Amino acid sequence: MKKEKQLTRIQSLIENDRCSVKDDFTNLLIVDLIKTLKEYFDFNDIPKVSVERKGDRHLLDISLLVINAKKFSSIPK
Amino acid sequence: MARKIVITSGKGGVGKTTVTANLGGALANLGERVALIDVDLGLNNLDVVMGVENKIAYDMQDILEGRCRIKQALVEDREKKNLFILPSGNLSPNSSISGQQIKLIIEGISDTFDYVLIDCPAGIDIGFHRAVSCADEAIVIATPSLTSLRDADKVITVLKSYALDSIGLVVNRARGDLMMSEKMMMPSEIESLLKTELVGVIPEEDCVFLTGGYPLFKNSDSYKAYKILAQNVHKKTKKIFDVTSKYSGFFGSIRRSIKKSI
Ligand SMILES: Nc1ncnc2c1ncn2[C@@H]1O[C@H](COP(=O)(O)OP(=O)(O)OP(=O)(O)O)[C@@H](O)[C@H]1O
Ligand SMILES: [Mg+2]
Repeated sequence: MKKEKQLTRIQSLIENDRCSVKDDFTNLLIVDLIKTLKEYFDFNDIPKVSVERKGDRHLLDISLLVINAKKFSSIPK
Repeated sequence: MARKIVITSGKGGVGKTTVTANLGGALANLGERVALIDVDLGLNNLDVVMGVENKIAYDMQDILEGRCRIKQALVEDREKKNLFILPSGNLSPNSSISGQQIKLIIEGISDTFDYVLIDCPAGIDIGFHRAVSCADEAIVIATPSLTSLRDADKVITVLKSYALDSIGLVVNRARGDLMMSEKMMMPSEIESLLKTELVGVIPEEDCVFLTGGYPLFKNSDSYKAYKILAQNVHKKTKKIFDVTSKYSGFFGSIRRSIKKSI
């Protein structure tokens, strides 16, 4: 097996192992995040979400490139 | 006060015992007083790799049951006067000996030694925790295979829940010829994959088999690689043995094709 292929395989293996939640969990979280974040920001991308095990805790990492933050007045009460 | 370093890996058979023996030997060559402790209860092999199995008078069980003092159980290396091994004896892997008890034994010799290297069993169950709980630092051994790297990553995750002073990575059985032909991951790639500081690279060599694992031939590449590893551990230098240098350039390409044909 070529090195590049080994690297991609091991990277995805490790990512899966480090991620402590199932794909469904992340997908549902992303849908809810989009709903909430749309109230505050304009964006076209899908938020990148990872839940990584850090010892006996988990690190939730959300990253999203937004176009701009909405004006405060547009946030529904 | 000795530095207490556990040598671990997750996956079995990747070289923990061989690294424990040879890093111990190389640290002793630097003039350090070193004790090697076999905490792979039941599958203890350190005494065999060190070639001292016939010199064992007492083991860990004898110490714990008061049949001997700790120092009586230490077996001196065949060559070096400043290198000792503490054999675990024929205990069951499920033995009731606790990490705390082994820790007490280690504390008992901590003033007499500069380094205590702890040979850990494979896996991440009770035996692993028993070994890690005795240490302040860890060295994770991985070979460049997918399964070994995956297990190393899991072990590193578990090690992070211990309050260790440092976690270092040793890539064992590295093949310079395969790295040159892009068929094996480079140590630096493994280091960034596992996000753990690389402290040593040991080449795959027949001499490890031919010597029974320890002591290695003094003119071998692995002997040199262990010397560099020991310096990195002892002096916190960051030199890494280059396994590819032998296979680069004109003569290197000839060596590579010879290696390929066998
Ligand atoms: N750099 C190397 N080159 C060639 N062979 C090696 C190298 N390192 C280790 N080996 C061989 O690999 C085998 C396993 O090594 P070792 O017993 O040290 O592994 P281990 O991790 O302690 O195994 P276990 O998990 O069973 O305790 C041995 O036969 C040893 O000689
Ligand atoms: Mg072993």
